[in-house]
Amino acid sequence: MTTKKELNKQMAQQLSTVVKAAREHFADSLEEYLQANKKAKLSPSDKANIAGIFTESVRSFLVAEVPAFVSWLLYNELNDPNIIKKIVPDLLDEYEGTLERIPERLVMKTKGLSDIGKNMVESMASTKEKKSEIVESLYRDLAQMSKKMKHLRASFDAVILSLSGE
Amino acid sequence: MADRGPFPKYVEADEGLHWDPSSNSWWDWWYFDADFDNGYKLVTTYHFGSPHTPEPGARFIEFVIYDPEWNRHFTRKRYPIEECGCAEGTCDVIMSHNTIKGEGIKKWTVRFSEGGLGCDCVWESLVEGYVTWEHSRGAPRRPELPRAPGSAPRAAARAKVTGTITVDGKTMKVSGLGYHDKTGGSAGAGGAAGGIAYWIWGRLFFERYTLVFSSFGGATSEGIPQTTATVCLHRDEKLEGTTTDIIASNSDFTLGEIAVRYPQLITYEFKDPGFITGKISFRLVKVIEFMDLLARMKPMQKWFIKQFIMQPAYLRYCSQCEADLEILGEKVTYSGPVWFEHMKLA
Repeated sequence: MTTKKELNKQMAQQLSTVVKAAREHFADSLEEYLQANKKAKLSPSDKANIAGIFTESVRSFLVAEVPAFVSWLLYNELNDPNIIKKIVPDLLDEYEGTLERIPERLVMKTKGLSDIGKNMVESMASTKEKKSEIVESLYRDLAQMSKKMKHLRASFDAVILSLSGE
Repeated sequence: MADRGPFPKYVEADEGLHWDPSSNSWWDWWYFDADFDNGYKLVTTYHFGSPHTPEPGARFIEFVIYDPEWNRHFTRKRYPIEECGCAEGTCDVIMSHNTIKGEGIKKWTVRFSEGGLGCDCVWESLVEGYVTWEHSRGAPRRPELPRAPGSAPRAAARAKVTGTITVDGKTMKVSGLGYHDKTGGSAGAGGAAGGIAYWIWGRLFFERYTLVFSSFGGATSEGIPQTTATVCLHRDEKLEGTTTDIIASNSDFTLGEIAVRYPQLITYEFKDPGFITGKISFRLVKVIEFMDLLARMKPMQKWFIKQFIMQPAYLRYCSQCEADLEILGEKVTYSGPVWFEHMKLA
């Protein structure tokens, strides 16, 4: 029987496969468009670079965001906080572990999120402001990333917090 | 080609509270404006929830009076939720001592008073009300389509407005023409608008004709690829119909002093022979309202907006309008000042 950890790893691999296929579709489509419209012809290295740009964009601005929206829907429907606190973030951690390099834009995007988390955790402690359990948990998660940033997970947390009205 | 109806009638219940407890982003607002004969203008919106931030518990009023020189007298005030209420079957809104009271489908009394600003005015509709089938596009709903929870009744596309306004503590009698609608939704403005980057909305009062126009752009506000423009047209009291056979364009962009890119020339070319043809242009004279919507956001919302949406803002323009139209076979021209709004979501 597949353990949860093994399943997570398999899903992260599936996600890699899908992103890889998408980048190839994108590069092929762009090449076809340029040829059909008599624009510049792509060299193999151009095409590889364009595919790389696509992958970085997807990793930086989609991989965490789309699951965040879906998770928010599922959480509201099923009322299971584990979707947001554990299941999807663990998948994103696993997927991030497969990346040979963290895209610079992703690093820029998540810069400062941990500080916001820390400030909010401190503020909640000092003012005794009561927020929902899920919101507090996400802020704590972000605050903990001051030691080691998990970029996709941080993006995910931030989108969910934004949707929560934070 | 124009849609000439029939359109379902606006009914009193359209203006009641639409409540969606399942949505974290639910909102409703009641909007009133007026151009008074003495040169003063009034715009006010009573908000339950907010389209810009998911905050269903927010209750606030925005109220502005522009004097004849377009100086702005503005207040935005929040009220405790326990001091606010609204009926579901009629327009009866209370926010502390400020109220909107509808009487039937033709008359509303708005009372507001805060910090030297105020009004006690009656809007009496001069035209048929209607309900948009999708508030983000502005066209009247067809009877066969369901009435969506967020559908927006245009209760008074043109109204006689009388009463008193108070500016800097000084109260004066006023009369003029105005407009009233209600809008609501169950998602933030960006989400509710289906990914649109902006909308421009306004109303024009020509002698016999009332035009409520709107245009929407998708994807990006840079260069603004036009997607849809709509005009709803009344002749005298009757709602004659609506058309989207319009080429809308925004040009001559500037950053102005507010670091938000906006167009200085907006044009609509109407291409619906027999209904409306010709052109309206709006040349910017002055930005009379600028609301930095980003500044209202909480930290995580700011982060999200900066990453994915960029620079949301609400703008209101005073413009020089030139209209050269043929409406329902009648030549209509106009040259003069007009003001309207621009909601910039990206």
